[in-house]
Amino acid sequence: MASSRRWLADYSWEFVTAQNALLCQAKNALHKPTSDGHDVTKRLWESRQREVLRLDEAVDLCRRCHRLAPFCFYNGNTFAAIIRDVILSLELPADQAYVVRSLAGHIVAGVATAEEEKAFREFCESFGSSDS
Amino acid sequence: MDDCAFPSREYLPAMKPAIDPKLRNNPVFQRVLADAMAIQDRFSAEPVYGKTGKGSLKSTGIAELQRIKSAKKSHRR
Repeated sequence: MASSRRWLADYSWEFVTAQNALLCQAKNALHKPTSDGHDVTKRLWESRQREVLRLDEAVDLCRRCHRLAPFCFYNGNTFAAIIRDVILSLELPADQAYVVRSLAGHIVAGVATAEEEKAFREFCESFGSSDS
Repeated sequence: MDDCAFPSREYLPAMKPAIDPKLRNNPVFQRVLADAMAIQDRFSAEPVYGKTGKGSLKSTGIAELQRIKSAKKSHRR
């Protein structure tokens, strides 16, 4: 796949934390780090967020960070919204963008089926081959 | 992750980050926040993915995709 870029460079840890703070505020939920998830997720994010990654690697980084649960609440939409924004930057036709954002969001949310993961991999391969 | 429910076990203070106005006014930040708010009710507030190995997301159905497809069809005509 030729589609390796700094996909997540615009989304610093400060960005992630501020997003979660405002999402928690909107629902009157406590914005608080978890004792076992926050520091490890922060380290993981900061070590990879500026790297050149394949698109599927960027999606997987968001999925792993969601799973590690750095915050007490609303980890899922914090990281899903970031990857959905990354997909927006591809400027795909509206119907394709909808499907690809949905697939990427499902993977990050941890609810993707094997078929959805396969469809996303195939998209990444086809996108990569037309992206040089 | 249980420290959210039982803060006395290992107390971590709630975060009150002062959000840099430059970040808050960043168009990328605002765009991501708007989308995250729009999908917020589809997600479970609690971190279930790490505990169970399976995330949680409510379906929105296919209405939005149908709308996009019909708009595309009428644009072609």
